[in-house]
Amino acid sequence: MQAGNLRKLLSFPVFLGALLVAGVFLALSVRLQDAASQPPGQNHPSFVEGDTWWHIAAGERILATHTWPTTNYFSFTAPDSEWIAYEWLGEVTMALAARRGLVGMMALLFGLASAIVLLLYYYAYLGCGNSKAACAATALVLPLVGAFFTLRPQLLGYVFLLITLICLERFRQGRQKALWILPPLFVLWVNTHGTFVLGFLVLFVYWAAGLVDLRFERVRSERWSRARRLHLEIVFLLSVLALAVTPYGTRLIGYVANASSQPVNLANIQEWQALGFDQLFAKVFLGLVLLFLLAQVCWRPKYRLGELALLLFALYAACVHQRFVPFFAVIFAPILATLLARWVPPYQPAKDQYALNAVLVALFLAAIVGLFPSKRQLGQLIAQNYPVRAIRYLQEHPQLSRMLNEHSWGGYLIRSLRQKVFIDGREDAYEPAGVFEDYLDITRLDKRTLMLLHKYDVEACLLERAAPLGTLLESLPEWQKAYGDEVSELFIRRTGEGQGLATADQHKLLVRAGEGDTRP
Amino acid sequence: MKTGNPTTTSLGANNERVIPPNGITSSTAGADYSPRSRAAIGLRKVFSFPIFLAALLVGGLFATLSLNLQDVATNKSAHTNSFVEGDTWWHIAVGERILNTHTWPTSDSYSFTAPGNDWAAYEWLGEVPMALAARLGGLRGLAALLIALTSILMLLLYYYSYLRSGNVKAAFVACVVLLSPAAVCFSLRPQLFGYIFLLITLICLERFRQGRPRALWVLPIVFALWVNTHGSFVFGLMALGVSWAAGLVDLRLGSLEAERSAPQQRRHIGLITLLCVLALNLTPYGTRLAANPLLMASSQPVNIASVQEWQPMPFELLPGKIFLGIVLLFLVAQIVFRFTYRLEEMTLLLFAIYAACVHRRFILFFVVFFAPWLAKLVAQWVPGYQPAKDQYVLNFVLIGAIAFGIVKLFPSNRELDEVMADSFPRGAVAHLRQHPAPGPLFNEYFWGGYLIHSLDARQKVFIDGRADVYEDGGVHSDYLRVIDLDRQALSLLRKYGIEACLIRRGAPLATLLTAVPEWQLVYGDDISVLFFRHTNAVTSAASRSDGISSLPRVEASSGSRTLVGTL
Repeated sequence: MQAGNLRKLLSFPVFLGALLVAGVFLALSVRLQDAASQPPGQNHPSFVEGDTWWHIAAGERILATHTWPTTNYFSFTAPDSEWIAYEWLGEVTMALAARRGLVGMMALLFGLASAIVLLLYYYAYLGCGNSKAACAATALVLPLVGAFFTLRPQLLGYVFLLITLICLERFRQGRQKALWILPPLFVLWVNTHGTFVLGFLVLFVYWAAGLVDLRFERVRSERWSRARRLHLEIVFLLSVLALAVTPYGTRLIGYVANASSQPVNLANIQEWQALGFDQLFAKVFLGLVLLFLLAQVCWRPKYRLGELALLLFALYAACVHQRFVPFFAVIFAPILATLLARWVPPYQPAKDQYALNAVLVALFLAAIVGLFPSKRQLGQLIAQNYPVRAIRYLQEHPQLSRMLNEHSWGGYLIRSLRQKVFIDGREDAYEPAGVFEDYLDITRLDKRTLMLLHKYDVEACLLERAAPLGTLLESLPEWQKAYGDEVSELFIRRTGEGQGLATADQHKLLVRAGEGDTRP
Repeated sequence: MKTGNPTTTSLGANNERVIPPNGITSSTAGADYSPRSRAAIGLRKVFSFPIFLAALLVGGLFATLSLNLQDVATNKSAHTNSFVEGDTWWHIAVGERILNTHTWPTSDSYSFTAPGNDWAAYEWLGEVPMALAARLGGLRGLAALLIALTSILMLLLYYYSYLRSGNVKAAFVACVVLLSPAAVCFSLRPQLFGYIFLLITLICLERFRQGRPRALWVLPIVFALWVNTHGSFVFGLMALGVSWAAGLVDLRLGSLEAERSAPQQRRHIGLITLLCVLALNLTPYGTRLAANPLLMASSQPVNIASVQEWQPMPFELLPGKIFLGIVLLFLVAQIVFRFTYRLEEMTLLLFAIYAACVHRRFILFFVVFFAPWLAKLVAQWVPGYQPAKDQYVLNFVLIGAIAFGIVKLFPSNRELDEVMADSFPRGAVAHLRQHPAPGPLFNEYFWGGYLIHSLDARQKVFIDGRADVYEDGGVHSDYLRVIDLDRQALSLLRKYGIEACLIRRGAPLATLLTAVPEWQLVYGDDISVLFFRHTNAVTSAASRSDGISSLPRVEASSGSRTLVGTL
């Protein structure tokens, strides 16, 4: 029995899993290398992004105070705005990893990314029964999920989504107990990330597709037996009840719903934008969709009603909001695997080479450990994209408290400078107060720009080196460039006399000029 | 697949209808052909239900274009396309120049940033009709030309869809569904001619495939016109090439089929393709026009990265959502229904989907290749045309009503003028005519063509829609650096000796120039603001608060608000 277990552990399907994990590591390494080779200040994606930092800061605060925030204490522009840490469980996890520094954060990212890819591989295998086809399908969609591998609670959300899909698929294949994991999973999920909504969507679609018996061309559906349907409904209900198990009670659900429907947020934040096919992962997405289309014509595969409905929704969602591309990849992988299984022969245990598998898996592990990025390498990446040196300057000049900052740097400033910011990635905290819209007007050089800076009594601006606002401030006598490096520039408002018109007067003139006022 | 047309006498290889070459069907064979009855037959054809559907399609097109105009007038966006767009104006200017001088330009004479740069009027044969329309009818003439071209385009699409599906009602439904996404591209440009030629090419290929070999002989002439009109002739060559290549193999793969052509057919299509390629040299510029599309695709990265129509399909906007819905419908239909595809039609359709996703300007290309497939899908449920049930008198009345409606509701010069005023800096141009800029003028890219057309020839532009002129010398990059407020923006303005800036109201550059003492706001309205460089730049607070201007006072006029004085 022990030999049997050892053979399972060192079998070819497990080797393929290790190969996928190595692929994830390779993809992350390539991305880091690519980011390192870019000129500083380009904001090239690496292992972290702007939001990572405020997530960590929120997690650290929860660990330190053992309380859950209810107001926005990180900013001076909307200090009394309601804000709750609706991803607190993910944030605490990130904060714990951050205690090990940048290497700890990178390790957590790698761990979560590997978990997603392995779960996806297993889910695809469940769908087609062919581990080689499942591996190939997972590898093909890896660029789609890989583009979103930055350290955020969203990764945990996709882990939970895959677990949900696996449980549903196992249930569909006759393993009744699989579903009982879901209610406790949703308890964790609702406290981790808003993707629990997708979990309910897939639950609902699975349930609804089993209400009918259908045989229409290549679309099939089999009615659930009464017992299985009841089982699904009970699990669904328990999962809904689980949504109340949060430090905020049911308030968290309402907050998430509200945050997901804020118009300025949806219109301006990149991941909510439509898919732009100028990016590589989007071209891969388009190529896969076109090949899939061709496959319908040439090979005419069959589909279950539920998987087809989810696929169409995922395809639509990914095109309209690029943040749903990983969701599409998750839904598409098993379908792709089933298609590939036509040509890929299945795994044959009799031909397996366990010793060779063991050696190769060990080699992969050794390579991952050996090539894992160092603290210095990760630190250099941070310095290339974040105002590390400007923060050192600011720490030496702590009197600049009301500082306008780049949106993407807000989280980093919260964590590094430990002072309140103008704005950061928590748009849900800023939009109701109008701060987000004002920020956009300022950075897009609306005619009210200077008036808005005055409104918030901004005394300094920390901007990206090439920011248009910097061009404006550089040309104004009441602003002085106090610091500059390859990544950032710091402008400080002069406070001395004789610096031209009184600031408020000039602002009024500028606003009137912009409105075409005929008064001189 | 259900055909439903009782006049059909034979079915093609894929169960599609083959229309007899002489038009005689079982219902007309053996009938009386006296002059009177021939006239009656002719009248019945003219006022038949298919013709009524065509008229209805034109009426729907007119309604769509009218709604677009209203939308522009309501939204008052400086960059919204209406019946004309930024490029229309320089096309007209070039056409006028060719008509006046009877010569074809070989260098740029419209800008001061790339004067004398090598440039050819690549679309001259489309520009001349546009100039003639402007000359004969002004704005109404341009609107009429737009309606005429788009009507021809939609009617050709209707006919092509009918040829492929054999069902005139289904063809109509397909064209109506696709009218909305197609209309995104319906502004007056030589591109419309290009798509007309593309449809003619596809119709000829389809007729050839249905057994009419003579249909292809039109194509060399079409290509001779096409290469002088618009770069989309490349798609025509692609269609020819794919059709020829698909005839090289026998294929049966699921629902995908290809039938090896007879050697004579292959030679015929090969010969036609060769003649079409040779026809590409029949231009005032020799082979230069034929090479332009390739040059554009390979050596103009700034153009392709920054010009809106080269950007990916905007799925967040309604046309993008409609396109996405159509593609999803197509996908579902493959799963739920059984269609047969020829290899070349599937190849072209997949390419069209890819092209439209990656560059939104190819949405019309997608529409052209998708419409016949949609017609075939709809034909499964829509019964075919039955001449016996036709109501010719009613058709005549309705066609007359549609024609009357179009004439009656045709926008007036005043209405078109108002639309123009909402998109182009008409007021600023009027101001510049009275108070010329003190030196070189920096302008918005989108307005360059309008300025070329509207201002004196001595007032050259910084940039316009002829992006190919400005890319090589770095002018387009510099323009973007200025408009995006690069740190060198003001230096770049000095580099080009810019003394005036005409830009969109609310633009970031406007905010910068308003704040900078060396620039003075001299004109402003709902669309545009005009700055002149203040040659004696005032830097002290006392001087700036003086309020005295050394520039002429501008009087306020209706619909505009002007500014006087310095800041």
